[in-house]
Amino acid sequence: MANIIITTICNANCSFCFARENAQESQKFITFDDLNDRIDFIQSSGLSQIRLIGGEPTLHPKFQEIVSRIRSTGLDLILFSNGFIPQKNLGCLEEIPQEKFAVLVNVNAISKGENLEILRQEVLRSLNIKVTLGFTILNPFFDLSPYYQWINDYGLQRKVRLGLAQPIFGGGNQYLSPKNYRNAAQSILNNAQKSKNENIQLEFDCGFVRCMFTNEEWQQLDDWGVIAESHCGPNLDISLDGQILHCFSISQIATSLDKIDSTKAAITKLNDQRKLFREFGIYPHCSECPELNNSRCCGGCLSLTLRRFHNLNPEVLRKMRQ
Amino acid sequence: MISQSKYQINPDIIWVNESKGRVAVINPHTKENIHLKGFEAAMWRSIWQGISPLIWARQIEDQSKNTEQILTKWLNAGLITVVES
Repeated sequence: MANIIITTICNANCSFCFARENAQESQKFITFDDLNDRIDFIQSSGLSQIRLIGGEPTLHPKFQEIVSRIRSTGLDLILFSNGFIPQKNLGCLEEIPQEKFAVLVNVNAISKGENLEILRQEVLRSLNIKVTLGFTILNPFFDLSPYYQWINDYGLQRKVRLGLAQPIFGGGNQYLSPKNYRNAAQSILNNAQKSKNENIQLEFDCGFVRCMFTNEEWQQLDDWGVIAESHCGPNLDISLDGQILHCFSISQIATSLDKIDSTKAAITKLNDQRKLFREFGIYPHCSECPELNNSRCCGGCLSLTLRRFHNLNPEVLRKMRQ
Repeated sequence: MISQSKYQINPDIIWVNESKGRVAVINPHTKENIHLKGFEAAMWRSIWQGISPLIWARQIEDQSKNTEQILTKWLNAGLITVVES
């Protein structure tokens, strides 16, 4: 997979946002020439999806044209949104058949205006089954019940994607400290039991670690139908200036689109850059943990691991990739 | 005696505290990864904390460790540098 950043502007203001450093770039919107380059790259890599991220991607002034261009490829469109989608851009998304389009809406997004909250409810109502909710865990004590209500009220996908709030390496966003992972795990278990009763599936995003849960709890999650795994790999977020980033959290591990001809080659290159740190994890005991050594655990978010290193700063990391 | 000098960790060198008091030291230029444990790990942290070499050299003597050899090894590998007084 690869994610195309089409704008850095956003109409939400989330303290945990891992794209906020990116929002400081001078360029704000992707050009059509660059969009076509990205689409060529994705097609030549043999991928079946075009995934748009931001900022808030629907704020691109030519969003409708972008959607038309993507539909012309025949590939599926996946959109990552805060749900505050301008009314004028909603119609082109409603028109896309369900099997060709999905949108992941982050429910924690905090709008910059009250009217936007009303707008989001309208978006959920309009896009209904095309919407999957995403929840970012910043506070370890959380309750997903209100969002289960949204799923029932608006007929959304019966699925919630759970992500841990992760730090930007060298940045200043809020994130969930690994010291709180055990508390977060308890909340996940409480919510997973309710989700089972509601016939809603929970799914883990990247950065979860095995030791958050006991073996019995992993089994319990499995029994409740949770897609629970521990993984951290290159996300391939393609920035406006043509860099393929490991992920938003670690933009220093990156390669240029000019030097790479496929997503497979990009993954190889980025894995090579981070290889040095892979034997470590987010906790001091990770490096001697059999779960990390046998790859059943990813050791947590690489950005958290990098923060443990003395003397390592974004500039040193950038130099290391040269 | 070499242990009478003052040292600092080379600013290019990255390192991480691991469990059981161990330290992993990585030279980003060579991508070499060295694992220190026990006395060597404690000595590394002493240099990082800027503790007077005289203080830890005395402790080293008590433990019959070859401080000079370790410091020379680290100097030659470019992991530490002598602080000019």
